Amino acid sequence: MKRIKTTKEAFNKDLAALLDKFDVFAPSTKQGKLDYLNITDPEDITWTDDLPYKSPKETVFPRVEEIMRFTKDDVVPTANVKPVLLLGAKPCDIESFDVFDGVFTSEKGLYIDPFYKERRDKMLIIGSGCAAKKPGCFCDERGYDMTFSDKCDAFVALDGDDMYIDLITDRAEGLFSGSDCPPREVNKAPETTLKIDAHENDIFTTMPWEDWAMSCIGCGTCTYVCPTCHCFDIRDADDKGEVTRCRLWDSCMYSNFTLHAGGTNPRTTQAARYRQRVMHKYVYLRDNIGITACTGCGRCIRLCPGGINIHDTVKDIMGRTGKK
Amino acid sequence: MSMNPYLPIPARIEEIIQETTSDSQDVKTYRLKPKTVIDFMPGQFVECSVPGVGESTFGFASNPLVKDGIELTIKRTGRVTQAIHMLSAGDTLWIRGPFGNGFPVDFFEGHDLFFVVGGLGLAPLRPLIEYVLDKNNRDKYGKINMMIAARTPKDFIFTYDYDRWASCRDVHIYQTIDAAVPGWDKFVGFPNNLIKDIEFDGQNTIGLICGPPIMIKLNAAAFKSLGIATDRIYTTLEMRMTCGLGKCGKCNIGHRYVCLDGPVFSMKELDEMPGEY
Repeated sequence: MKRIKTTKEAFNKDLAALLDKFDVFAPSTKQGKLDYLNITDPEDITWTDDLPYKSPKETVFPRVEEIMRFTKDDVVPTANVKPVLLLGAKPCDIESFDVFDGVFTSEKGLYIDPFYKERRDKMLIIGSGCAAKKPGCFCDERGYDMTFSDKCDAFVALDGDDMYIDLITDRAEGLFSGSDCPPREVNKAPETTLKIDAHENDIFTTMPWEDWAMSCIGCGTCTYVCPTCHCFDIRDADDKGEVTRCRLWDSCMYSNFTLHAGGTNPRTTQAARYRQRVMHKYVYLRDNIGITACTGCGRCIRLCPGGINIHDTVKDIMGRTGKK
Repeated sequence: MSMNPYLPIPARIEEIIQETTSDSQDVKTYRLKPKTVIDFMPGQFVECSVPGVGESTFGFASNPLVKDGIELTIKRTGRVTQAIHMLSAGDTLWIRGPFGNGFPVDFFEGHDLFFVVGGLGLAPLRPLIEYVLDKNNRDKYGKINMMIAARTPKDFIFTYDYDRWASCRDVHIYQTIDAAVPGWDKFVGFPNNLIKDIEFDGQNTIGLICGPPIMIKLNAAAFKSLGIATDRIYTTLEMRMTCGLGKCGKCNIGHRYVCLDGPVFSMKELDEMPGEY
C-alpha cells in the first residue's frame, strides 16, 4: 500500500477536477448538522473527527430511486447516474458496504440487484479515520479498527495543512498528486467481543423482548440512520399518465411493514418488530451471508427517542445465552 | 426471465372468470397471455402489477404444463387487487417471475395425496392438482383425496373443474362449508374435524394444506395425529413481499425468506423455524 503526502490545498484542487466525473459526497455541515452531503466545492467539506449523523448508504441506495418507466407496451429500466465518490467515509461506514454487497450482489442470493450493482461498481470510496470514540460508539467491540479500513479505494488523513493519502486499489492511482512517503502503520483490528453465537430458536421466544422494546414508539429513526438497514418498498408514481416505478426505504419498525392486504399481520407488537431488527442484524444475516450487520456506529442509540440501546440488548442476549 | 429481475413483461388479459357469487368474497380468475412464455412449477408465484397503482404477489393458479398462457386467481382485497378487478379482457397486466421454490413433485411420486384447502387456498394448489392429474403423470401418484372448504356454498372456486378432476382414476373430492344451510347435502364443519372420517393411508400419504394460518396449524396437527409424518405434510405460505428476490426484507420467518426458501414448506421445516407466520 503506497502512501503519498500532499497539501490540503493541492488535494482540494485535485478533488475539484473530479467533480465533473463524480457526484462527490463528503462530510459537510448543513443547518448545524454534519452529514454525508453531495458537495460541489471542496471548501464545503467539514474536516472533523465527528461522525456524520446519518450513514452514507443513500449514496448507492437512495431514499427514493426511480428504477423504471412504463411506456405503452414496454418498460424501460432507468439509466443510471454519475458515479459516486464517497469521501471521508468512516471505517464503520465503509464496513456497511460489505453488508449491502452481501445482500444485493452476493452469489449466495439467487439474484443480483442490477440497480445497486451498477452504482456500487462505479463507486469510489475514500475513507478517513476516527481519533476518538464518540458516545454510543462500539465499533471496537464489533472488531473494527476505528483509525483505518482497507475496504476502500484510498484513505486520507489531514494533519494541519498536510494531507496523507494511502492508495489502496488501482482505481485510486493517479487521482491525487503528491510525493511518496513511508507507508502507514496499520493497527491490529480489535477482537470481536459483541456478537451472538446462539441459534435463532434459542433467543426468539426466550428473551424479554417486551421489556427491551417497551419505550419503542415505532418511529423508524434507527432504521433510517443505520448504515446497514436496507429493507425497501416499491411504489409507483403516476404523473398525468407518465408512470414510474420507484424503490423507497422501508422500515421493519412500522406496523404495516408486514401487514397483509387481507388483514393478517405476523408481527403485531412493537416487541416483535424490535426483535426482527436485532435478529436480522445479529442472527439472520449472520446465517445468510456470514456477516453480522452492525458496524457499531452507535447512531441508532444516539438518536432513539425511546433510549433503546442495541448494544445493551445484544450484551444481555450474550449473557442469557451463556456468553459473556 | 429478463436479466433484470425487477422488470415486468406485459400480459394481455384473455378472459376473466367470476369465481364466487357471495357478497363478501369477490374472486376472479384472470387468464393471461404473457408477451413471452413463463415456465413455472406448481407452487411458484409471480409479481403482478397495474402501472401507477402497484405490484402484488400471486401464486400461479393454472396448469404448468399448458404453455400458451397462465391463470391468476385474485380476490378483491386491497389497492392493487381493486385495480385489477377494474380491468377488462383485452387490458394488460404486468408480471415478473416465476419466483419461489415450488412443490417437490419428484419427492411426492409413489405417494397418495391428500389436499386440504380453504377458500382461495385452492388456487395455489390447482397447478399441482393439474400436474399430478396430467395423463403423463397420473401413474406416478396414488390415490388422491381433496377436502375443499369454503365459508358458504357460494364461496367455492374452480367448481367447473371438480367433475373433470373427479373423473380421473382414484380421485375423491369432498366439500365442506362452515355452517349448515338449507339444500346443502355435503360436509359441514372445519376440515380438521372431518379428515379423520376419510379413508386414507397415513403411512403413505403426502398431506397438502393451504388456507389461513390457523387452518394450516389445525390441519397439520390433524394429519399428524392420523399418522402422516411432518416431513410429508406440506403447505404454501402467504407473506407480504415486495421484491420476490430475498432482498426487501419483508417475508422472512427467522433467517429464511418465504420468497426464496418458500413459499412451499414442509411442516418439519416450519416446526424448526420461529413461529412468526
